[in-house]
Amino acid sequence: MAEEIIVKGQLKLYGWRRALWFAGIVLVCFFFVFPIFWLVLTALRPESEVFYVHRGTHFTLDNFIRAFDAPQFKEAMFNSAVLATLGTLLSIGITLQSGYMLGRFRGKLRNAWFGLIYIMRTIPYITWGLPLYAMTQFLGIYDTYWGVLGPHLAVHVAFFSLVMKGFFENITASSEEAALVDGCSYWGVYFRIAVPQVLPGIFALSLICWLWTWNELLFAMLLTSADTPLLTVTIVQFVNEIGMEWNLMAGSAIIALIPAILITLFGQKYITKGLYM
Amino acid sequence: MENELSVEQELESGRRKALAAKHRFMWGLVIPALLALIVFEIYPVIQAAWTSLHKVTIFDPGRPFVGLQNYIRLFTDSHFFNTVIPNTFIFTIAGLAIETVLGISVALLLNRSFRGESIVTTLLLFPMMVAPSIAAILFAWMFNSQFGIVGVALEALGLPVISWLSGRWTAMLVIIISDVWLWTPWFAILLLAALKVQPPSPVEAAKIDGANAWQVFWHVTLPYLSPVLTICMLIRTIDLFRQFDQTWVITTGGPARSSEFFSMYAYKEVFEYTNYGSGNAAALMGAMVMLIFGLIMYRTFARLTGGAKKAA
Repeated sequence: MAEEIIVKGQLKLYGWRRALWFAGIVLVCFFFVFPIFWLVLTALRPESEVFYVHRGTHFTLDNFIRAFDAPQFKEAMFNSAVLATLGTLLSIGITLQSGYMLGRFRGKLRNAWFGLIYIMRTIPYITWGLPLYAMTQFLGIYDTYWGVLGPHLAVHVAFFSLVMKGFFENITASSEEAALVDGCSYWGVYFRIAVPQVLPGIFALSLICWLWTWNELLFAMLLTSADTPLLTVTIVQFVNEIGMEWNLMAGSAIIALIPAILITLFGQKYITKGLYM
Repeated sequence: MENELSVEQELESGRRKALAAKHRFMWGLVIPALLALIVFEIYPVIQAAWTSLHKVTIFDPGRPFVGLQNYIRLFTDSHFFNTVIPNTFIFTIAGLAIETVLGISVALLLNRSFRGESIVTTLLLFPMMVAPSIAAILFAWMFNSQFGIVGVALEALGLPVISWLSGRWTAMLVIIISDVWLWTPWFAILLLAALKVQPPSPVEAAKIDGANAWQVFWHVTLPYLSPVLTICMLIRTIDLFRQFDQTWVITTGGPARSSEFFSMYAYKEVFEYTNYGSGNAAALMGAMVMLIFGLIMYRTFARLTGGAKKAA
């Protein structure tokens, strides 16, 4: 495997090429960082200066406090956190099993399951979101955690099963086979030998799964209302209601970004593993 | 002789038992996931298909069967045909093209060790974690026609100030830029991961043969990246096609419904105009387009998932 490791710095750059490369890096950083920087700056401006963000001289933390005190904001944050946590715990369990089946077995059943997941992955949210509105009302779970949780589970099964499959394919099956020969049951092998080996991957995917549920807008819009407000919907409604108060918008947006910031800073080592959606 | 036969029979029945146990286990593994899919995705899709073939109104509980009437109405609706369909495809293709090219460029740019490498990677990782709806707010604000920083910057450069969100194409452009911001890093990071484990020998051999940087990229690096790239592009196509969040926040489909994509059209048909039939028909048409696209790509995808993941 030695030759697979690329020799670091093999393409050393000098002179104008180096300058060009450096300019490229700066440009990339600027494009991806500037919008966030701008959001933070807007959030720190008092209302009187929000239309002249680039020229203002005053800073304030009022916007965060006001956003936090806005009607339903805290409730929405709490609901989104509960939903994301419940969704992650349930999905990771069922998706891991589905990924194990895809990664470890061969045959018709496995191929049929792969095909089904693949097809489900291609179907746009809106196609099943519209009927879910009536369906959750019929079942009496409209505007509750359970009503939004269900479709999220389906999304996670379709999106993450294939990622989980990759995790299992990347570890060798020999110890599982040995345990089977020694008389261990399939479930025993799964829980005691296979799962512990992919824990880092599971952790990465849990972070992404949590953030996805927290970030999601369409199902939240379709399936919740006043009783179970969710954060993204609440903030988007802000845009329509308060319209011009961009300082407040920015403040609430930044509060909603806190989990993303924390996960990027502290979980980045793991996340890249789980990015195959 | 009798003994031997019974041993064989015993072996056979044992094998059958083992196979049955294996199948039970396989079913046990998928049943929870299968239930979630059936209840919350498959059944609603069937429901949507049913609605699209019936005349459904709030007032009439009869819901008569109308065949393809809703679909015919959809295709005779000039708004859907002349605006929504082209918008959806233009957005998907433009978004995919820009994200792919930029993603490859960024990955190549970062494919060397330098001081601050990990800081740059962290910065890149961040947009992926941002909710599309929040990113949309960000870009709506930056491209605000009166006070947005983009307008301010253009004005400072002596360029004309554009009111971005009051024209179809400029509004679409803002939506595309927001999507590029959100998803280019995803391309870049996955491609970079693949580049980091690229075997150096073919590259060196090509250089010894006198290939220039562009030729090396085109004939060695790009073919090497193509499995990862294909999967990324496939996944992005599906997700670009159904994009809803950014349009909803940035333009709500405006001005005058000119920046609507099919998801938004279906949503509005149902929730604003209470045209349940044609809304569901539109949603189903979108699903069918993606299904056909998915089926065409199926072999590629199935062939690539094994190998490419190991590379990343």
